[in-house]
Amino acid sequence: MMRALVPARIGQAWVLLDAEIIREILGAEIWLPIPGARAEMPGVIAWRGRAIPVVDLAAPFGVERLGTGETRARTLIASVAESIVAVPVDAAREVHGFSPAELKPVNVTTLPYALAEAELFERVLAVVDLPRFVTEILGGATPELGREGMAFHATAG
Amino acid sequence: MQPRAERTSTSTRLLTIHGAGGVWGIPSSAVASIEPATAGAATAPPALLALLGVVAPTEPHERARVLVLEVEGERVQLLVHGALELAEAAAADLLQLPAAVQAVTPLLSHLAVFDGKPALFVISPERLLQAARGAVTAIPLHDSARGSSC
Repeated sequence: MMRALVPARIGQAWVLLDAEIIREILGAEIWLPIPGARAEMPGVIAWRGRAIPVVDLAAPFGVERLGTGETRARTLIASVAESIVAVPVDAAREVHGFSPAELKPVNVTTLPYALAEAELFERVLAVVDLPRFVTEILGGATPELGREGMAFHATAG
Repeated sequence: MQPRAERTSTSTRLLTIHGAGGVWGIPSSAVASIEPATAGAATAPPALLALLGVVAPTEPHERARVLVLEVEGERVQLLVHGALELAEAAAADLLQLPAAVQAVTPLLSHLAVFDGKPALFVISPERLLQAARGAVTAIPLHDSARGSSC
């Protein structure tokens, strides 16, 4: 069975996210900073009559974080952990289907929350477990970061 | 200054505070009066930004005033800096903050959207009252930003 994944870029890091949790891909969205919030959940946006948290994958990846007033070119609206969140990214491409044989155990990439790896764009990209990241962020903890630190390692390719 | 305290079934009037630390709104129905800040007062009221956990330098030109809120029959004083304005927000433009956000910043209840864009956070007078009493222990069922329906 093929697994549908969305390639997304944050900084120089391309990652793959499960397409089934992506509800919509928007352009740059204005967000309002939450006072006292951690870098992984810096603000909120308005989406379809709801206020939803902004989740910044740049923080765990060690990429430059979203500053107040800054936006990224694309905003992924993801439905995870019984919540809807906005994930700003610098780029997003069309969905790619991967066979189980194409999804390899994590070996080359060292990003936190990586579940597997797959080749695309002549690179090895990490399949990121966005639901786990969001669950931890919304719950106020990021044990994965504690285990693996904040170091960013560029994907191979 | 005595802001009018009006709320209709379809909109909420907000007193907005435009300062260096951002823009905030309080349902004007909770504002009993606005007083000049008294320099050197023996007991200064708590500063709004400090309660919100916002670290922002106070601009010298920003005027300091004391909002006197009347909530559940009690009066709460709040020191604010910046320009004060009145704004009207339609009920559909006041979006309740998700629980994960309210856990981080419990004094805020809603996001106000103007012209389709997130414009400011609305402060809950009820939670301010709880904070003034000592601690925000739970999110009250009633938030005056959108009546009891939110």
